Formats: sequence, C-alpha cells, structure tokens
Amino acid sequence: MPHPLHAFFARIPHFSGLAPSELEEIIRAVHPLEVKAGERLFGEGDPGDAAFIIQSGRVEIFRLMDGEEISVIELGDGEVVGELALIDGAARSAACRILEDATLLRLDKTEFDFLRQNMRPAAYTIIRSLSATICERIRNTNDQITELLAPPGPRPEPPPPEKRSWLARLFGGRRK
Amino acid sequence: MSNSNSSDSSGTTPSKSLQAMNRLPLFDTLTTDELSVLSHHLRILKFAPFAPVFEDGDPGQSCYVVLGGNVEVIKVLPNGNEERLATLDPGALLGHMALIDNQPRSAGCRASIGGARLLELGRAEFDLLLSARSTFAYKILDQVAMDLSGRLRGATERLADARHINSPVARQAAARAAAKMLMGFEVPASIHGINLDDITIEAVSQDRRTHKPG
Repeated sequence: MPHPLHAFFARIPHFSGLAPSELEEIIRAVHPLEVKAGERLFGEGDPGDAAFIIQSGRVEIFRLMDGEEISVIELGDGEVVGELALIDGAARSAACRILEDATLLRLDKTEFDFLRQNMRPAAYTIIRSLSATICERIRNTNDQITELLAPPGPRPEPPPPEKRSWLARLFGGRRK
Repeated sequence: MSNSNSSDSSGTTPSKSLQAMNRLPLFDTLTTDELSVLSHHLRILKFAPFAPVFEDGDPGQSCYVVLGGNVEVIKVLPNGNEERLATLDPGALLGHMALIDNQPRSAGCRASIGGARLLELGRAEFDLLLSARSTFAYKILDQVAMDLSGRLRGATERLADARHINSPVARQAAARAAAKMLMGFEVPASIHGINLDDITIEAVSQDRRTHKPG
C-alpha cells in the first residue's frame, strides 16, 4: 500500500520525476509543520536550512526595498518554497510569511545532504530538476540584463504592477 | 561538499594530466580513478584566434573548461551592437547550462587573440553517465548546480540594484556587473600555479569520440 504522500508528491515540481523507491526516501526525510496566518517562516538573510512543500494554505514571499515591503509572489497548495537552499544553503534572498493557516512539509538541508553524500539517486533527481529551474531563471535574468545594456535613452517608467512582475520573474515566481 | 581524493585503488601514481585535471573546479571532488574513467568521455579542442566556440542562440550540446588562452563572452544587443560581457581565464567553466537543459546558448563565446585550448564534455556523454547513476556524474552535477545557483543569486542582487539606479550610464554599468556575475568566472586560487598544459587526452580515448564537437 503506497504511502498517502506518494500521490501528493507525484504532482509537485522537482519531485514528480522521482521513482517510487526514490520518493520513499524523500517521504522519510520530510517533517510536517503546521503554521498560522501571520507567522514568519523565514526572513531575508536567514540561513537557507530547508525547503518547504505547501500541502495546504497560502504563503507570501516578500523583499524589503528602501524600507518598504514588496510582495514578490504568493504560493499555495502543491508549490515549493525556498528550494534553492537544498543546493547551496545560502542565505535567504527574500522573506516568507504565512497568509492563510498552512500545513507544510519541511525538507531539511541536513537530511537532503545526507542523501546527497550517500550518492542517493533521489537527491540527484531533485538536484537535476532544481538545476533546470536555475537555468531558466538565469536565462530570464540574462534577458533582463540585455534589455538594460541597450543604449540609454528615454525610457518610460514602468507602472507599479510591472515592478511586481519583474520581481516575481527575478525570484522565480509566476504571475497568478 | 568535500570528498576525499585519496581513495584511488589502482596503486599507481596518477598521471600529471589527471593530477592537473583534478584541480579544475568542475572535477575537484572526483577521485583520480573516477577522472581516469571520465577522461575517456572528454575531448580537447583547439581554437584559432577569434574563432567562435559557439554563437549566441546555437543549440547547446557541450560544456567546456578553458585550459589555455582566453575565451571572450559576447552578447549581441537588440540594437545589433556586440558587448563583451566577460573574458575567461584558464580554469574557467563555460557553457555548462547545456549539461542541464536543452536551450539555445544565451551568449556567444570566441577565442581571444591568442587562441584557446578547451576541454569539452558533451551533454550526451554526461546524460549517459547520469542515467547510469555514476557517482562522478553526480559529483559533477553537484558542482554545476552550486556554480549556477551562485551565479543566479549574485546576478539577481546586482540586477535588482541596477533597476534602482536612475542615471542611465550608472544603470548600464550596474547591468554590466550583473552580466559579468552571470557569464564570468572567478578562477579559484587553488589552481594558480597548476600547469593546465599538462592536461592531455590519450589517443585511445580520442578514438571513442561519438559525435563532432558542438
């Protein structure tokens, strides 16, 4: 009888490519976490020590710019938060707060690194998928840089919604 | 992650070539035994002065490490002007997104005035090693993933800075810094003093070439 989480993971980005036996190792590594609306999951600059898979509820990613909170993206059921931490553990580049009471699955970097150091295919299937996302974001960033490198000239100020859009693009979110 | 390089079982001293290869950032977590197997899947390519390694928009099929000379990273801007985004020194890694995705090259690369000598790893070979669950393919994937995420984080920060700058000239300078973060390569001090000319691929492995360089 497969674990009830198998069906859930089968539709999650970065996990859907795992073979059943690989998924088993990931399911053993995750821990459920209940969080209330208004709680902060992590702050900008915090150590990247885990990725979170949203089972239910909603979260918001935001950045502080000139003292002002700018919303980057809202994420919900079936989406993954802070996944780049699994690769490099680098400091969080944005903060995350809970918008609606949520159930998350926490995948600790230490647990993931254990699979990685033991050369477990599960870890590398995920790393490969995460790398493809990183490439997509790099290409996107490259396009935006190319636009900025075009010679200076009169440039219409982007309207406020646009600001959110490029931030979302920079941090890998999709517009809802 | 650190891996021991001392678990060689062959009992013989690794060749100068393997020792030098083992200092390259892409391969420094592999054992020399693993490198010895991997080297059968690598090629060495020589480029004349200013010869293109690949053009912006070409299908990406290989990644490269600069062994000698320099490589310039060139972007053609929307107005048709060419912008040199970075110059890569021996030890630098380039084109490695091709190991991960199947997208066109995001910039062009060409040998600089002194020509260039490059080590090539094809995606086809890398994919084969990955699907065989080879530990050294996993180690290379780790290095590539960490390199790419570092570039992305650095460039994202600098691009966000650039967006905040009102002066067009200063904004362009900040965008150039972001591009350099994305396309350049800081060669680690650990390979200074290593003679990358020592790196050769034996004739026997050259016979195993399965497709032309791309």
